[in-house]
Amino acid sequence: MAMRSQLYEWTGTTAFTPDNQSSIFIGQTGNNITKPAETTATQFIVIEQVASTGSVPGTLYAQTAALGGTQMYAQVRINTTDYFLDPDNKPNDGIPGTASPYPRTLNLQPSFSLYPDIYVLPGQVWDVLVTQRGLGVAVTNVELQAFCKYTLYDGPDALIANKLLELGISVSPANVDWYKRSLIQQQSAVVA
Amino acid sequence: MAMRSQVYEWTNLAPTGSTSTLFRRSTDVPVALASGTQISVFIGGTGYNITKPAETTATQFVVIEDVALTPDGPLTQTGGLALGSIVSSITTNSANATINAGLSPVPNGGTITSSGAGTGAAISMGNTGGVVDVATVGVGGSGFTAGDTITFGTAAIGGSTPVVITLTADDICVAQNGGHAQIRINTTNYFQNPDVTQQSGIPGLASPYPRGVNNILKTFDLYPDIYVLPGQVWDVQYTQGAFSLQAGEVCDVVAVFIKYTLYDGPDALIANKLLELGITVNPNNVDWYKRTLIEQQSASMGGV
Repeated sequence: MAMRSQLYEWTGTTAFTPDNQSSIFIGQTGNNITKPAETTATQFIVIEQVASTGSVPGTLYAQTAALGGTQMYAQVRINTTDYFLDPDNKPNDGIPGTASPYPRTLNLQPSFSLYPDIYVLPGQVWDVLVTQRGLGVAVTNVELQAFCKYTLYDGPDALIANKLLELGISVSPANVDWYKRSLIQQQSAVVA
Repeated sequence: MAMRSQVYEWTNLAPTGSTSTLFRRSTDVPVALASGTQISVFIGGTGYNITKPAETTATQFVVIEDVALTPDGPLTQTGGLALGSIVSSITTNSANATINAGLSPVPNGGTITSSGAGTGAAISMGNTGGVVDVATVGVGGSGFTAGDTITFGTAAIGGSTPVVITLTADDICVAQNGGHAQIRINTTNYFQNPDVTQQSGIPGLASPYPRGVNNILKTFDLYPDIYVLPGQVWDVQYTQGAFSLQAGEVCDVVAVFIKYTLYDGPDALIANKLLELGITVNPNNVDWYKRTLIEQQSASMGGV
């Protein structure tokens, strides 16, 4: 079955500059890949989770850069359009690491779950852009990280994903299966 | 598909000298907020703001799914000392101090003592003409409580009179310095008391942000969700708790996090239809409604 669960983990370098937005794929900081993330004509991607280094407000914001001073955000960009907007339709920094922390710990649990998912249609370029808005504290010893979980639909399953999209139905493995079952049932009904 | 998961995070951070900002920067510093003050997290003029009130157009439908915020707590919480000057908390000064003490451990044997359980801090002291006029916390330590006294003995400060610092709530860095959040649709507050009087809304203690801060887990789940119908204005009003936040005080940072789903175009029409039918508006049910339509159409036409 050409539905594959995929993930990407990014670890930034200590030279990451605050206030600069950087791609976790081709931002030339931390681990990168060889070319922008994009789908071919027979691929369909559903981004299901984005997480980044969390921060703890209050005491730790100020006194423990390793835990609190990073204030990381992760924005998803499809082609040239940012996904997360403020209510006034202005692009914001994206999902706060504090709301969707990576790693998750007992003291830092997620408040946010990416649902509905984000679709990357065939032929589109996608990216995850991270920004660090620390309180001006030195973060030279902090390991900035981001994590992305997505499902890659390929070949016939990508066609079904597109069909579901046309029908306005969420693209998920369960709905792709539902569509296939519907086709088989109709075919069976015709044969019978 | 026009169903988009959206987030908004408010903090009381703004550039030095400003009370609000439309753009986050790493150099932003906390903005003052007095205990009991209620402000809009969108257009309240404090911290991170947006350019206009949050509102839905005629073809939009918003479902607010989660509101979380910095938890509040009593003024007697323990914590580290706030970094920076603490000179205003000197309650007994010296007239003939002779030593400008560098960054000194607090407590430090019998020379510098703390009346409470606080340890691991470091404070530097300086005097002009024998009167201590500089007291700066360099290391916050932990375990300090408002009301504790820190005494610099004559062996540490010189002269004949020990210098006593009596800690106030503002001198302590605590993780629970937040408040409450109320949701407002047009002019109506969503959370009300049983007697239909106004209240300040969701306590940060019940819906903490971040989850797990100070080992506090959530006791409140915003379910059923809150609907913002087409053409309505919505807002989240934050009320500062017992602690007053001070401008520039690095540990006086509070945050409010809002998670909502924006339905646009045809999906907003379906959301309205679900509302008419009395069915919860969520992506699953919007999908269900579409599948039902398709299946009905398929049944009448004989194909998917």
